[in-house]
Amino acid sequence: MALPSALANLFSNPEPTKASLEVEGDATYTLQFNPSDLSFGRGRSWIKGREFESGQPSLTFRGGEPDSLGFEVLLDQSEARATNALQRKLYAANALNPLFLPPPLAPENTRDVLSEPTGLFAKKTVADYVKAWFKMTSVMDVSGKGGSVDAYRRPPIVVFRWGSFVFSGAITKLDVSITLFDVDGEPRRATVKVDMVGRALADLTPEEVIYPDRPSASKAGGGVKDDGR
Amino acid sequence: MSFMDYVLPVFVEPEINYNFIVMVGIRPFGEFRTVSGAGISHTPLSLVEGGRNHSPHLMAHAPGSVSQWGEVTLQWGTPVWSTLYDWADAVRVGRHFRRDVFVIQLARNGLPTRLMRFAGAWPKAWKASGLDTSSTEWAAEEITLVYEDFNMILTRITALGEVVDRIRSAAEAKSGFPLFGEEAGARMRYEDQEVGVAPPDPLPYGEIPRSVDLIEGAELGDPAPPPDDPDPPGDRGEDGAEEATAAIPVVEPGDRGGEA
Repeated sequence: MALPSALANLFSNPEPTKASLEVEGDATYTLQFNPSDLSFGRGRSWIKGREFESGQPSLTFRGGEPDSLGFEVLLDQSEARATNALQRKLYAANALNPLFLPPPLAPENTRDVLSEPTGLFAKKTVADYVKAWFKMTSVMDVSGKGGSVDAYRRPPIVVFRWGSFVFSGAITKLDVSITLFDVDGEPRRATVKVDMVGRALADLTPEEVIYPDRPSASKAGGGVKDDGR
Repeated sequence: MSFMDYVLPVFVEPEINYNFIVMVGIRPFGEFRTVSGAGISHTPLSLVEGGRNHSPHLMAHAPGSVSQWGEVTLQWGTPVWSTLYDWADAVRVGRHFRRDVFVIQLARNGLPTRLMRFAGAWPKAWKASGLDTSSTEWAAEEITLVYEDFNMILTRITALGEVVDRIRSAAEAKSGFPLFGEEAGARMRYEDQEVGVAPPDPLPYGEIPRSVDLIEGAELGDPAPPPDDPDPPGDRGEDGAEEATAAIPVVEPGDRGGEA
């Protein structure tokens, strides 16, 4: 096993750093595949006045809009993929396997074959992954006290990180398309289109995202690593 | 000859392309007829900049594109085994169907000269051989592979051997005597045993006797002195070995009439 893995490590191109989602009140999840592109933007509102002499309108700042982020990720379990060092070694060894077993003798597609002890959401199936995405939009008690105070009941704030890019905000829309089913009806591939609002290029705490003008939020300091305002 | 001629194998013959081995995993895959399509393509981003009128900027990785390895097509002329079909049939949801494919190109002497590795390959298409009663060709199956990574190693063992040969021949031309191989060994045995018999005058390279036995009049252990030897072996002093060595004529390369 050492030789195949050594060959794979020596000659293969390195795997890219994966983007991650840090969910408030939950864990940090790593994407299986990075998005191919990110699109984010910022809107500001200016009101026109009237200046008759120059003919040019005056401009009055009327506040801004939250930044937006959109990306699309792929969830795939059409084949077994290595998500840790041990699996990479196993798969590198299997890449040298000279046998292609006929279907009656081959291991059928079971959930165990595709289970990933670490990696995307630490779940097993694409359906579980989709559930995890929807959980990020579910209303929850972010205080963790189990109360019913409306101020603490909202979807969690999510921090998207990929390299030096950070976006702190909340998911406003999820579009899921399941594009591959197994013979038993289990979804094996899905695309998730994500829209978020919040603050681009800023690593903020949930309070800073929701109440950006609060003195406590602006004084927080420790939570604000990079304020892009 | 210049130094570069000795060191760099500049004039290497083009390699042949009909001698190769294909391995899928660790399994040699029999007689393949052709291996084609290995390569890489990049999609450039053409950026027209105002004022730069002679040419657009051509940058790597246009939006939405990445480098793309070519698809490799293997034609197999030995449909005794159904392995190619088995592989194509193994491409199913949840199966381990990726394999590393190695193509080893061999030189004329049978030594590998190029090793190509198609990593994570799997068959995109398999095509059975056509059947035709009027044909006299091979019944060749065809399989098209896609792969996610590619490496190529040039072993160039033949070129390395040529460099060694050049260095050897240059050194021997400088010394005037064979320095490697049986000829050099025979000479060393003469010197070690203090035979005192000088081998004949150095001959042009390639005509040197290949063993001691071929040297006329020479017998190991009880050598007969050459007729014109002024100092027989029995009368030698302590420095007899040096004399024997000195008796070996050293001929400059320029004096080698046969080669000059």
